[in-house]
Amino acid sequence: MNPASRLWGNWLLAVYLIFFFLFLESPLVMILLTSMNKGFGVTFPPQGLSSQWYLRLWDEIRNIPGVKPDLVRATWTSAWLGVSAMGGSIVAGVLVAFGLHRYRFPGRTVVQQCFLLPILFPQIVTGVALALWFSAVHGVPVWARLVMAHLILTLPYVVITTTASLETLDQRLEDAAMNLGANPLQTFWHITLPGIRSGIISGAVFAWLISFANFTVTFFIYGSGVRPLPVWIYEVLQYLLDPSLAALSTGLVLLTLTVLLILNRVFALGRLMGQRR
Amino acid sequence: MTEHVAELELIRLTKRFAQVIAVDRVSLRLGRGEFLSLLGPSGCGKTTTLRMIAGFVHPDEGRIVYRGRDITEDPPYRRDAGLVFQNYALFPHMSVGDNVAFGLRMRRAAKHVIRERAAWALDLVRLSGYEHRRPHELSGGQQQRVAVARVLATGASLLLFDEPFSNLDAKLRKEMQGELRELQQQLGIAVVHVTHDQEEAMSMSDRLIIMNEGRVVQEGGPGDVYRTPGSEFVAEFMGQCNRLTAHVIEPHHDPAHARLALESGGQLQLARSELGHARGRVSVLIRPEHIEIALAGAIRGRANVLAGVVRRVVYRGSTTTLHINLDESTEVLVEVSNPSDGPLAYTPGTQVDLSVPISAIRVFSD
Repeated sequence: MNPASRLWGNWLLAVYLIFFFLFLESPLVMILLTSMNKGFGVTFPPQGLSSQWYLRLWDEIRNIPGVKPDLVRATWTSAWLGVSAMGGSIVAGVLVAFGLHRYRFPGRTVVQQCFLLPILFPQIVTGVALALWFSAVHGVPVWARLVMAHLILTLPYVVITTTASLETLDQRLEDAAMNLGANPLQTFWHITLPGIRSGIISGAVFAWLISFANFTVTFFIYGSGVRPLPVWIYEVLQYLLDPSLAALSTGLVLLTLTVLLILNRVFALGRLMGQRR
Repeated sequence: MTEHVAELELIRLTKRFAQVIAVDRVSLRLGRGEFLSLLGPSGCGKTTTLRMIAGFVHPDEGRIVYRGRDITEDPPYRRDAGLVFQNYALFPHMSVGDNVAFGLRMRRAAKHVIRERAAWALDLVRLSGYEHRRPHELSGGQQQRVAVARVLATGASLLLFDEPFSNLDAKLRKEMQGELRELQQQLGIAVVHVTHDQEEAMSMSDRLIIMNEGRVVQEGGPGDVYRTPGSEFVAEFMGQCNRLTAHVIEPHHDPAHARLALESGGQLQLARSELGHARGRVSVLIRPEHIEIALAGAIRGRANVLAGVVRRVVYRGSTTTLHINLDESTEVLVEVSNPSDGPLAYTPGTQVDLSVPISAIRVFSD
């Protein structure tokens, strides 16, 4: 391949990738434009720039009467739900990762795949399955249902990142600790845990973000008493096409992006998720 | 008469991995303050034996007795043997000081005891003042010294070394070997040292145990093992060795000596005691540094003189190795110390005479 055609090839690839990503992210682009639109509603091309929807969002947050109620409450619900899912995932996920990584037992590969299934399943399938199960098993309070469902969704991520960390850990460090007099519990606490700290923290942050942002599964099992933010937005959208929601969405996207960028900086996320270099 | 209890005793220790016998009925005794090296090629079982002493591998058969107490079933954290790893295994998220203090901390010693002993240990390895550094800030030699300080601080009375010098460059290696040996003698701590480097083992040890394929093949002081190897394997493992094939000439008149006919031509006279019961075809092993060399015709009045031609001269600074052809297919190495006043007079093609002292000849049956 001569230099000229290589240059052409690179340019074409770049153009293709730009359009591909624009297409993929076009819903987000639309939301961004709507939040800054002068007019009301989703129009294209936009009618001019304005920050009015962000100001309105700020009003809603401060719960001025006459404006949509419960935005703040929904946000707190999602935040605490996220913390619960995160906490449970950390405890269970570290144990699972440890067990799968350190011990060979018959059926190990199958068990390993089972723990990764929630990522592979379409969330609609998971949502419907859980809804059916909860209706068969009576009397599970809504918040418990949500925590359980979110735990199922977030556990695989903690397992993945913790396992990746475990694999980079030098087991001779644990041998050295035991040789110096540390029993297995002390070794785990003082040597192993600090060694896999980056995997646990990354997995935990992931878990919270995924729980906070989850719509599909949450939609199938939530109840009127507990309303996480994504389904709250959905409900409002049923009767009102309010661009301040676009402002809210844009804000959430920016928040998620920022957290992920910081996480990547601190913990080299790519390598934890399997990137080679 | 006082009963001398061995510091460490291994009694017929055996370990199998799948169908392979990694350690085959290994027995040894280690005296108080003794420096013992387990020496052998890769896969001979020396590292597995060491890991069994440390408690990381459970023996299939046999017992481990430490100061009269059977510790075979004890987990690693209840044994008193400090292990220095090949890659040092320093805890990267802790400072040097915390690394050294770790053992005592885990054993719940009093705070002032921990501080004192950690300072003492660092001082022993000449790293006082390095408490706040991190392992990754240190050089290889410094990291190794921290690893040694770390086990010394716990008050272990038995040290285990797993090829601890293999990651250091040649000069640093020799320095550290000397330092460590001096330290060990100063403290009087018994050591089991695993290595595949025979020079390293000889320079540091009171006693060597040569292992091959899971078994102990010879035991003894460095000089004994080097000069009187029990087998061809040991002879060739301990250092450079010339190997010649010969036939025993049936001895008649001389009760003290015997004669061998070399396949490459010529004869060698040796002590009858060295020949032992060997008859017929034998292997003759001679160390390169024991052979005397001179220009052809220059050696007079010696028993074992062989004629040869210089094929290659290898200059090594302090010594020169000469490759001599006895005949077309037999090559012999001769090692000579280099004189101070100039190069040796040998070049490829020079005719030379080699003289082999009777005491330098080792014979093994084929």
